[in-house]
Amino acid sequence: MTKREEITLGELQERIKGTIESSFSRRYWVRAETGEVKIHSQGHCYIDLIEKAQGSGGVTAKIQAVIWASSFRMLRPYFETTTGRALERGLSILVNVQVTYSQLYGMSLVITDIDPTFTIGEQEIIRQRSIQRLTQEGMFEINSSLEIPLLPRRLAVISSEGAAGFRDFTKHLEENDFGFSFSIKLFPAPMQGESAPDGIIEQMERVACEMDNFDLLLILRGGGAAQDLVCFDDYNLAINIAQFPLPVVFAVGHDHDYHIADMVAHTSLKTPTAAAAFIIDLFVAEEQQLIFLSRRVSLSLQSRLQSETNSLERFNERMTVALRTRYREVEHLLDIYERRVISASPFAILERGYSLALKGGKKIGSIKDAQVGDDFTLLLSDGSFNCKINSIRDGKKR
Amino acid sequence: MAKKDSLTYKQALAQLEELVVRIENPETDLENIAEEVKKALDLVKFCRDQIKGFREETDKLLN
Repeated sequence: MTKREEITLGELQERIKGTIESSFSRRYWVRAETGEVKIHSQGHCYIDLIEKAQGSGGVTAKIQAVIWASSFRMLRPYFETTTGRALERGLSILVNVQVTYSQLYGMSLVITDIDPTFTIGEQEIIRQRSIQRLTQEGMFEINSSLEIPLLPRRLAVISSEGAAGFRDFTKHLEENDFGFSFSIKLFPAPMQGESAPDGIIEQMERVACEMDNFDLLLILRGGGAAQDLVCFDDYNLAINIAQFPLPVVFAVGHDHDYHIADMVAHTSLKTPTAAAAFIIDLFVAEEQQLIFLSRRVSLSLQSRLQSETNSLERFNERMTVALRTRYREVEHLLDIYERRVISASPFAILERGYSLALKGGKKIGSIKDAQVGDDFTLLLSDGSFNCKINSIRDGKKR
Repeated sequence: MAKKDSLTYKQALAQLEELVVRIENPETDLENIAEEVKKALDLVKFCRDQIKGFREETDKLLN
């Protein structure tokens, strides 16, 4: 029996470490996907690097990697400003690594450098491909061609339950300064990560089933890391939003990124609070329109009344003038009648001391009108005499 | 004169016109001319009063 070689665990690991580190002494640029990413309180960043099988998506390779705090302090802002995303789960990355082995923690990779342009490239290629396909399918115009009701007050919201974004939205709506009231129904769904698109689509289908109860669908998420939002570039989510029967307002709390979901939605806003403000603004605009109209009604009524009053005054004036003329005319007529009566009546002459001889009611104007012995009446201003003709003298023969 | 109370302005004016013509007509009997002249002048007064009343009434309504 040969003598067994016994070594301590530490010695074995010492040998493994030596073998590994001498075999992998140089650095490698490695393409991988990020799994779990943890940032340690001391500033070190621990990342699970994984590789997935094409098609099935099953994990085929996995190793733990670390970016020491001293490197991470520089790499993190470099990565984030270049990609516009946090270094988080689900990213395709290209990293420069050194293989290390620790007796306590086993094998791991120390990341010394990272090429953010690779990450941009991968995601951008997928994204551009989706955009191209959606353009060909005419998906960008569909939802935005739906009309938002004048006063959308029945709101279906897809968001994660208890998330700050949904709370902000509800609070902002309910505490509006104008006293508008809204009915909000939450359809909870995961709002980040790989499961988000399917979860959101499932809830969209539920909203669609009772679409008559809603005026708008809002998809909300408050803030969060940029990388979390990559799910909103998902092609399936995009076609579901585009073809949704209600107008979709999309607000996932992003500052610089514009996702495919933003492009296909009816209205895209930066934050859930902005979405609430958008809805309140619709009500305010409508109310202002009403105030404006009622003001117009009262103004036009006033001017109408004024013009009616004016024309009444004109009628009044015309009537006054017409009446005055009429009265003057009839008074003038009466004056004429009066003058005619006075001048035709014999009494003016009688008043002046003359008398008038009447025979059988007729004036005796000539000696031929009567004979000796005839009775006649002599009319004076204050009465009459009954007279008899004693003799006749012809005035012309005198 | 009781008859005049129920007289309208138009009727009064027509009577007046008739009287004026009668008074002016030399064929008209002079026996009753005094009465006719008096009646005509009464009618003139009646019509003037009527007009005065109309005027007061319309002035009150229009102001």
